[in-house]
Amino acid sequence: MRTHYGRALLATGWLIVCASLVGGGCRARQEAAAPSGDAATGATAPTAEASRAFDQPRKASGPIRLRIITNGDSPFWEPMRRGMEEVRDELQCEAIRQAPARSEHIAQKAIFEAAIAAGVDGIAVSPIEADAFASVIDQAIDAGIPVLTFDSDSARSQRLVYIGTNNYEAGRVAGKEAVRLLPNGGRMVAFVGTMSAQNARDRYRGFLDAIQGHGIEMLQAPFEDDQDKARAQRNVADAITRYGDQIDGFLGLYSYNGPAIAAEVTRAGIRSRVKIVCFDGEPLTLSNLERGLVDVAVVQKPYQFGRLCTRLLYLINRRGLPAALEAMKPELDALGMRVQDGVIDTGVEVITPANAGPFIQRLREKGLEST
Amino acid sequence: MSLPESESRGLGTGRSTPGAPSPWRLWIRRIVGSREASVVAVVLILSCAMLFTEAGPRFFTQANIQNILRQTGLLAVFSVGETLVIITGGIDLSLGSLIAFSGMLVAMSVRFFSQWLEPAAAIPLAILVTLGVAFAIGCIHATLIHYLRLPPFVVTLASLLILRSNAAMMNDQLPITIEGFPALLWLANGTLFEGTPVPVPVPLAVLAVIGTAAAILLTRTRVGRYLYSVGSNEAATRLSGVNVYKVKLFAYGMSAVLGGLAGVMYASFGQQGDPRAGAAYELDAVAASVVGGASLAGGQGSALGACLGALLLHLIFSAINLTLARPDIWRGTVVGGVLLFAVLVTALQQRRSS
Repeated sequence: MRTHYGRALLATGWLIVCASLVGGGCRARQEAAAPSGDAATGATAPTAEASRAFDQPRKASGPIRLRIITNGDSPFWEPMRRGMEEVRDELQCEAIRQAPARSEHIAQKAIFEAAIAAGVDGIAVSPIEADAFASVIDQAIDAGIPVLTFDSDSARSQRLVYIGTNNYEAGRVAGKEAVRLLPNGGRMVAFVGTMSAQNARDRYRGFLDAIQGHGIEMLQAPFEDDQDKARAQRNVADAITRYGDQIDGFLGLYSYNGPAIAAEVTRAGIRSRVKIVCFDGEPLTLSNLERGLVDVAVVQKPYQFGRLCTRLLYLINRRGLPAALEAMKPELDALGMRVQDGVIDTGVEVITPANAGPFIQRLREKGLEST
Repeated sequence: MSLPESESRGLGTGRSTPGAPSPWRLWIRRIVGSREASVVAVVLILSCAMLFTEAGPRFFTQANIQNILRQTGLLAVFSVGETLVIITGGIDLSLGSLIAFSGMLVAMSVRFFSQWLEPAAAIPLAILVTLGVAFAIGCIHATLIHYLRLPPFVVTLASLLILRSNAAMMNDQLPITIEGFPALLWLANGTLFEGTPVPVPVPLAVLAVIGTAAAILLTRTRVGRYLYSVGSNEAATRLSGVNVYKVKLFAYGMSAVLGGLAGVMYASFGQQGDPRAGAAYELDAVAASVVGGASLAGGQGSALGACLGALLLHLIFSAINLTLARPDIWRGTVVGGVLLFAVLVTALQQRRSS
């Protein structure tokens, strides 16, 4: 018996060693093949071969089937869906929004690969893990399916175009607003879902760069809540308990952090002496802005993500990539956006109590409650 | 079959045998040796330890204590329900999703009813509808588990998925705000006796009522004894003439009702019904129950233990948030460690008693 165990152990050991060597070799090859550079620093242009492969119309006639894959379910995606549906109805194509049940790379990959297997005519995706998703996107490109990224990029992939917010710049905008609100400097606390997400890191980095040299100091690393709203609110209460009068301002990096900050600041009765800067326009953030419970919200344009992704994928099929971008130029110009190095920066808007009313009115005219 | 602790303690006999320790001494010994006392001791030690940290003065501020008690109230309400199920040897994994579902349902119903009724009538009606639906969900769990002999883990896991999906369907994945209903917001954000030296957060007051009722039920009523009995030996309980289905119906029904109530209170706390609320909260409830002395094998646990478990968890969360520079990284390690320690203590206690 002992001999059998010994052999089994030896065989298992060999298998592990061989697997490690093979895995290591593959990994080394992948690393050698991957372009260098930090994905966090921004998007790079897709490889020339990849974009050239889509220069000609892919499907000049016949039905077009598109998939828009988000990184999860959230009210933030509702305006995106509206934008997608508007263009879908206008162009008479099939466009379906899909989302992984949880914000998890593996689940998103499964949805994406199912779309490739179904032979759809185009996919737009907001990758949960930028680098890990690159090979998945390349698989679709190799299969002749045009792929765009939106909201969050996968710069190492061969995606054709990235449509979305430059989160670093959005963070800088928030930082400049903090400097405006605290002209004599001050101390702030930040709150976030998770700092492992690239968009959160980019926003925070942009914010820190913008406040540098203006006397604003962060009291500690951002409080994280794993996207649990009750915990987000609890974190704010604990921050107020921990730092008390030292806090001059709050920064909410995720969409629900704004309402959580406003609720606890109001409860603690310190609204009059603190400033609140947050991101995105959840319904509660918008009503808090109207009531003066939040000073600034830096909002993205998910509605445009949906519109632009659907239209661009459709046009790539009908006319090819260069002609599609050319055809979209008037719309992009009207929106104040332009294509540069395969990126369409949709920009952000700064909403304050002063302009909240007209902004909300504009949203309602589009049938939207949030952005 | 193990009896409820008060039964096995032989409280209230008032008689003592010559040479044997007096009933009072026995009673004190049992109290001191109970699981709840261990949790209280840990709570006290942790609180004392906080005195010697830099965060000590802030930890003991009225605002922080209020915050801890408010959060404890919210968690303990459905942890008590989870404990009822665990005592019967089952488990309810649907609670987190039920919190999202019932939060959405109460927000939707209150807005619906307020079209015709005054808020004073619309709010109670919406809460009643929500609790009624939650009870029905619990009854479905019990029926599937008892009559089809499906494992509670699988039934409530399926329910977890279905309810989360239904919560998302209710308003196309969007939250429903309840800002316009101050009385509903008061349920989780309000404070009783405000301005006095002992302000009480409303969730804590709600918990006091529910916890007391559950404790009386478990220790002083026949239904309570049946719950322990089913968890200890279901077959023997059935053979002794107890209607096991009704016992399970009660346990899962009450668990769901308390989950529904927690959903209403979390919606109130966040000022909106939210289809994403309550993710993985069922695990917090299980943790609170187990820390409070419940055994996942059934037959053990108490309402007081669940409340103390919830209090200990929130004390730890607060201590971590107030003392560590990167609290979120340590949270899982500390809570997991406490949970492991609690299970270890339970195992040692069981070994000693056997």
